[in-house]
Amino acid sequence: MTSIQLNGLTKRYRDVTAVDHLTVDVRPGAVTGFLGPNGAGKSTTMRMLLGLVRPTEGGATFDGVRYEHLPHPARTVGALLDPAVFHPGHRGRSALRVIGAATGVPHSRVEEVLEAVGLADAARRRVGGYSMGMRQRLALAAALLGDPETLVLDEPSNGLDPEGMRWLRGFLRRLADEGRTVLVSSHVLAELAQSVDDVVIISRGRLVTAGPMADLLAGSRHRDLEDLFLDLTS
Amino acid sequence: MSTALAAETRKLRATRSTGFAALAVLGLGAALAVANVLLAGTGQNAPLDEDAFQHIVRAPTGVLGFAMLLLGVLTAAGEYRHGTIVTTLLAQPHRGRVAMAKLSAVGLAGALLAVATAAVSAAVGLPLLAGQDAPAIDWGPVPTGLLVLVATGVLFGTVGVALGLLLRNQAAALTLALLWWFVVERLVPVVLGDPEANKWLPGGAATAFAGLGDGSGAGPDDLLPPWQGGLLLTSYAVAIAALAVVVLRRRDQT
Repeated sequence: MTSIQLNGLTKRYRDVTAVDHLTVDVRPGAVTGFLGPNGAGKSTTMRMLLGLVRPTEGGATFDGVRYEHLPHPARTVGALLDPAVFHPGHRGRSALRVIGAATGVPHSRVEEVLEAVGLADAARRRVGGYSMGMRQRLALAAALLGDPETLVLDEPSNGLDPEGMRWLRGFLRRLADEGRTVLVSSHVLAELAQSVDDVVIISRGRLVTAGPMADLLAGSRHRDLEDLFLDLTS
Repeated sequence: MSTALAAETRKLRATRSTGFAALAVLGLGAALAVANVLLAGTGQNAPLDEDAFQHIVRAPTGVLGFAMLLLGVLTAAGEYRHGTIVTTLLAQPHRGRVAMAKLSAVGLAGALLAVATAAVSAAVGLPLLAGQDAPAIDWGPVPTGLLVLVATGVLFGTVGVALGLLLRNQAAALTLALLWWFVVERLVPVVLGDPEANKWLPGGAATAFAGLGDGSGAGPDDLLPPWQGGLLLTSYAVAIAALAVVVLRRRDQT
């Protein structure tokens, strides 16, 4: 059981503050929706969490340990940042094996995750010929390769058709029910409302509100997540 | 480190450009061997002598260097072009190790390709030479020729990876390498008013190094002695590789 802590996390680019003293705890066993308008700093936050971008101040940790100091980072945290992370010339299976080799994951696990995301039949095709939805599923498969306790997913529903959306919803639910920590950013609010337990809402790099969705809605005059979100971020 | 290196060699094997580069170099190596034997003594070409075989082994040096530079650039900048750098850095957040693994994998590929090229040159060249009325082969300079070939593969592969990591754009990195080779190296002596100035540049050093151990083909007077050329070329490769490691470690991956 791993939780995520953002502690005064800040990123400044010259005169722009992308993320401004963000302090949040994300608990295990729940799907946490990370929401904010475009440019709110969601992706930058996730990239700092994953050691890709260096924070100007503060820090982001998994049970107190920074990503780059985790003994087996890719087996502790599964990340999906962009579905366009595969060499188009690689076949689905070999693309995952490349990542598996870097994380010390056996070939049998590659087959398991291909099965789990429904890509087993397309594993021999080159990624260049995949649809957007298939690439998204392959990226999810890559995030799951190390059987991680924590998942950090940036807009995983991008490019999915309605059936794919429903599949993703069930998939995230199962992962959380297994006790994993699932942090998922999205701008498709209606979609998230049906699948998240907690929400973290940021705007212009600052925390707007955070907590279990049921509590946030119960203690306010807002009808639904969209109502709450638009009111708080506009 | 070993997992990172395993991942990088696997990437090289899984990418088609590696196969194309290898086939092109091996094919050209074979073609150069045929040309060296069959064209000897025609036109301005010297007739076959005891150095014919070492020249066959050395003939693909330039082609190999260029192919490895290309492969290094494609491999490193390709990570940025295809976005795979994110996955790479997530799997191995220690960026110094990522850079070292990439440099080592391509360097190793350069060494292997050099040995394979020499093997093809020998397989094609030796029977052809045996069929000609050529003087007995002087095997003395052959090992140094092989050394030059292997070192060229390793060093140019390394420089390619470093350029690719630094510029992150395949076209930009290749353009810079070609501009450097064909324009800067020729302009510097003119600009400085010193016709020997380019012996201190990477191209001049590489040309000087190519003559190592080749007594018959003494290089031009305006170059460094071959072993100094080799040292200088190695220093350039190490310097640009070190710069690439430092830059990769400091850069935000957005």
